[in-house]
Amino acid sequence: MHRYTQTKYTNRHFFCILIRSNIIAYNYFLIFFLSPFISLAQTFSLQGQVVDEDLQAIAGAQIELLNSAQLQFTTSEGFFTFTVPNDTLYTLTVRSLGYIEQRVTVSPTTRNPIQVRLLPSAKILAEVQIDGIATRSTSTPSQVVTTVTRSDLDQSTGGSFVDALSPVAGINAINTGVGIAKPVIRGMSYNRIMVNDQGVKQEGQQWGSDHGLDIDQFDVQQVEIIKGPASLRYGSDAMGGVINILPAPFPEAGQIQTEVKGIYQYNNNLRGLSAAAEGNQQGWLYRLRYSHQDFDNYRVPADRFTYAGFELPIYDERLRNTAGQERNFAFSTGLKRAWGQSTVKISRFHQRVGLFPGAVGIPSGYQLQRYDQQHSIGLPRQDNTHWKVLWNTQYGWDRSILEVDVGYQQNRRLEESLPHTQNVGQTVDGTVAHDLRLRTYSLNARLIQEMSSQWMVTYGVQGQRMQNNYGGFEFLIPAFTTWQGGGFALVEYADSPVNPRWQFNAGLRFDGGQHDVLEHQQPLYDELLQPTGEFEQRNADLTRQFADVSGSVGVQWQPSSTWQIKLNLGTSFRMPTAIELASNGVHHGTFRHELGNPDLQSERGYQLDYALTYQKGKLSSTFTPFVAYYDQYIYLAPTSSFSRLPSGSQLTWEFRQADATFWGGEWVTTYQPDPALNIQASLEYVANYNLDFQLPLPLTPPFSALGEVTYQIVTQQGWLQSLELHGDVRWVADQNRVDRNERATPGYTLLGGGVSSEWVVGNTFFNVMVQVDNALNTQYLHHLSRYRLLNLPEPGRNVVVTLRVPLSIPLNS
Amino acid sequence: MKNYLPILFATLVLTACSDNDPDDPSNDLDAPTFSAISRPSTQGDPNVVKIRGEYMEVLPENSTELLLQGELSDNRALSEMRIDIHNSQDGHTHARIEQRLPGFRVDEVVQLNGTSHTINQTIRYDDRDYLAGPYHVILHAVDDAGNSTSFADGSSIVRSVYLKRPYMPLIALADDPDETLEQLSGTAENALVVEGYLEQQRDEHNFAITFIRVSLVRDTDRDNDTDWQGDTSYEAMWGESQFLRDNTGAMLTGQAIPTFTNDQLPLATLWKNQPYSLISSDHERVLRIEVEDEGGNLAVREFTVIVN
Repeated sequence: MHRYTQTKYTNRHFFCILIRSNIIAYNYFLIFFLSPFISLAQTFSLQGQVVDEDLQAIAGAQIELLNSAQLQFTTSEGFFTFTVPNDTLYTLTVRSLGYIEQRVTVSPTTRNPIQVRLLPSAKILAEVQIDGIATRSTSTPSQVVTTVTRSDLDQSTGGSFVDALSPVAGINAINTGVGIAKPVIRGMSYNRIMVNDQGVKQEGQQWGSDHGLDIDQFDVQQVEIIKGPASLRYGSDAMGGVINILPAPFPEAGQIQTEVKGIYQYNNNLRGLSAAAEGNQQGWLYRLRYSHQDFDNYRVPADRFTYAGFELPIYDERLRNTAGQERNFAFSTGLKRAWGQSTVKISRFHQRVGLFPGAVGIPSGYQLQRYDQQHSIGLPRQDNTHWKVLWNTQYGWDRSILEVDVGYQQNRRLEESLPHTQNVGQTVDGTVAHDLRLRTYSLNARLIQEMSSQWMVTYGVQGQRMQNNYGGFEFLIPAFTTWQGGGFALVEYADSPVNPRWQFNAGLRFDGGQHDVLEHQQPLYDELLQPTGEFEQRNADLTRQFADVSGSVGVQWQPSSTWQIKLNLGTSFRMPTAIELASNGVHHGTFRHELGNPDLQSERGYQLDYALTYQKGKLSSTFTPFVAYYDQYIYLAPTSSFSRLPSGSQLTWEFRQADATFWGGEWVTTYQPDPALNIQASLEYVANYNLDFQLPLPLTPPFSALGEVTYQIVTQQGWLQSLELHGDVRWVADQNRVDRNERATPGYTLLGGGVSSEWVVGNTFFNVMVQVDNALNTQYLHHLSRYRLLNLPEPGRNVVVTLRVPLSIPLNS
Repeated sequence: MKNYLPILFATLVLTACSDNDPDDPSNDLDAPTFSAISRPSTQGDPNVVKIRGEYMEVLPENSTELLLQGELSDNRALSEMRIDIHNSQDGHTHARIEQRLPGFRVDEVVQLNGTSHTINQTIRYDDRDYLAGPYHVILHAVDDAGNSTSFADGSSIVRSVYLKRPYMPLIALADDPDETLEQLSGTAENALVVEGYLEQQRDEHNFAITFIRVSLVRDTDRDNDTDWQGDTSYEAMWGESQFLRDNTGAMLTGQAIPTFTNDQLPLATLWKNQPYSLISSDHERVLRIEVEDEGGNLAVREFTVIVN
């Protein structure tokens, strides 16, 4: 099966291969709380042992050595040995089924052999422990970080990458039907949440609540979520949190790994297929993935809804024109050598999703009449394409690592609908209401230097240029060019390289930016809808510059093996976006006239995050409260005037600034009475307050609780290798804390459950999963859904079947 | 003792955050309210459109104005009311056409103050010939804090008025000289028979009929006694619409329009080749006849079908 000589084959070997592409890692930053080796002359033996929490050896654990393209599995006594040059740092990734992956960086100053202790990770346990005890990677030790693995994502049935993250406490999604979702972390979204794909910030018109995140959910291997401010390392837009999509690891040498994944969802008849192949020949990587999804109108447990005083029909309980499709591909190639590695990835995401007819105007019975073609994607609809070229390089020498990320992105967003404005005549744009084209160039570089076994310093610079253009018969946001740049220095200290009790980090960052916004003149039409030749200025030319400083200090204290405390205090700022400064048009996605404010200033936040983890025996619990104060927080507020634009009777909403506070937290407790049985309860709460108007801020997720029980049966008999049964109940409270003109949303309870199984037939492994969501077909409204504005219920019962077949093809060598 | 320190930390952070009272009376979140006028000044006048009255008001053919009547109130202070009247030939999709007649349009913002306002607004449309057919009358209001009425909770007003003009198509049914017929009857398993004719009326304008649609829809939800739109059990079309589009954005089209004789077309000829056989569940459905001319005028008649 593989060429590494080990004492014997165990099922764990098979599983390691099986989960190879599932659980992955990548090493941006050094981890130095674990151990060490002694440097010898030119080459030396890097030895170690992998053990569990009771210090029992783990056999068959996979050890990947980042900078030398080497991979091994531990012996039956848990040992491994690498022979490597002694002129650089080494980062090991240690994986084993049922345990949390560990990343360990060892330097020449530390002792050999090292001992790597893995903690158990029944799937859902991972969150607690990674939050609390385990390592850090792209975050500082004092931050609250949750890692979501590929196998967690595989359990998701939401239809988008963001939906797959939303079971994590503190994470929510702003949805527009099925397939369009944007992330919310602790009640913050839009431009306050940063999504980094392999270190490069994803830019795709994230200011709009009906604009989803253009990421292929199948092409994500591991995600790291930083809850709370992370501006220091990532810049001004990471004020509310960061979602880091980590790169896939280098494939194992000497074979081609393939994976085929199929998914079917009953609710919207979703048919999805994702196929990937990857290989590594003498350190050269190649990787290819193609994914597609087609889905029909989704089912809701209702045959009517009430809007504008009318009862409107939902025929066959399927929501008209909510079908969609996705076609995505990605190709990567790269090189791994002793000095480090460099990869290039080219990807394209394309999504076409219908919108419920009432999403851009008053729905009429005529538009909602019975229509048998449930797969048809009619008008209105979104058609989004995101091209991305990412070039990531890591170069290591002495005790330093230099990382450079270069990115180019091209996002095209087409919003198509029948014209819904009265005083507009024929235009060349046909049904294209908005054609937004955004091009983004990014460059990030970080230098990580280990000063001693206790001190580490990271320096970083970041630059980005965005250029936005538009077309379509409507106008909302202008053409603009934005430059942003910044630099930071971060120092980290640990009192001991092995199991430190105290860790400390502090950093300072400077950011600057400039928006150059171009004037827009909108044509006017006469009463016969002919162009008058006259124009109305929607926004004037505008140039604004911003610059400011962010900083944070944090401490992690582990008084005993049972308790761990993290405390992080930070201040961050966010410069207003060009949209917040200069938009001026009717946004049909939200039924309002949105008006920018060219005089906005940067907003500044002061944030305190805290994490308390208890872990002993079968019980672990993590409590992560936070509180923040924002000076001049930018938000969209209703005015007391109707729009004077000729295009509709909407109220004018304008961008304003007010002081605001946010507070809340998550509490996740896991009890594992038996290695096979895992019981978890999570609570999440966020509240906010506009101090100037003494009102909550809009689109705040309600208080919710999630209970999950997982029971794993490892048979290793015959074809069936293991079986996992799980059930979950999500309880969501009423959301009565609403902003002006926002409606309260009643609470609800949802039940779900399913079976995951692993099979081996001959040399072929595969996973089969059957999952039921909203098992009782409960009718409920989602406070953060775009369709909440139309009183439309969320999808009803869903049954999801997933099949995954990974194959390894050995190469003759 | 050391083990209790973390708990102390947690308690400190938690107690530092205390909720503000969301029920603070200074937080006015109540939008203005539209209601029916308590004492209408023009009882029985067909030109009066009452807020919270019938959804559809048919204005007389010779009408020159309509009168909007209703009440508007707010718990603290009104700011603005918006009156938006526009033609709605296209349902709600607001499609564009190259028009030969302008649509009548009102887009007026009324500045208000105080806590109540009596709507008694005369709207004239006699300055020129406008598109004839259905129009939407939409009223929104906002108070000085920015609390706005909305469609979602039904607090904004959506009404429809029907502007009749002598230059629009005429849908003339037998035994219906005053256009007051409201019911048609038929027998289950037998062809639906509608006696009457369509006419291209000639005025100073002279527009040919370009689109005809006949549909049988459920218009009222008897169980809930609320307005119910849609549920089409039968639909037939002739010609090509200038307003109505299908799901893909294409204009609705049907078979060729039969030839008019002396500007008239007997309704029976429409079904000559494809008669529609009534079923018992068609009972109390609404037969809707829509006729569009090249000027964009749209005539609509609706009849409740009684299936014997």
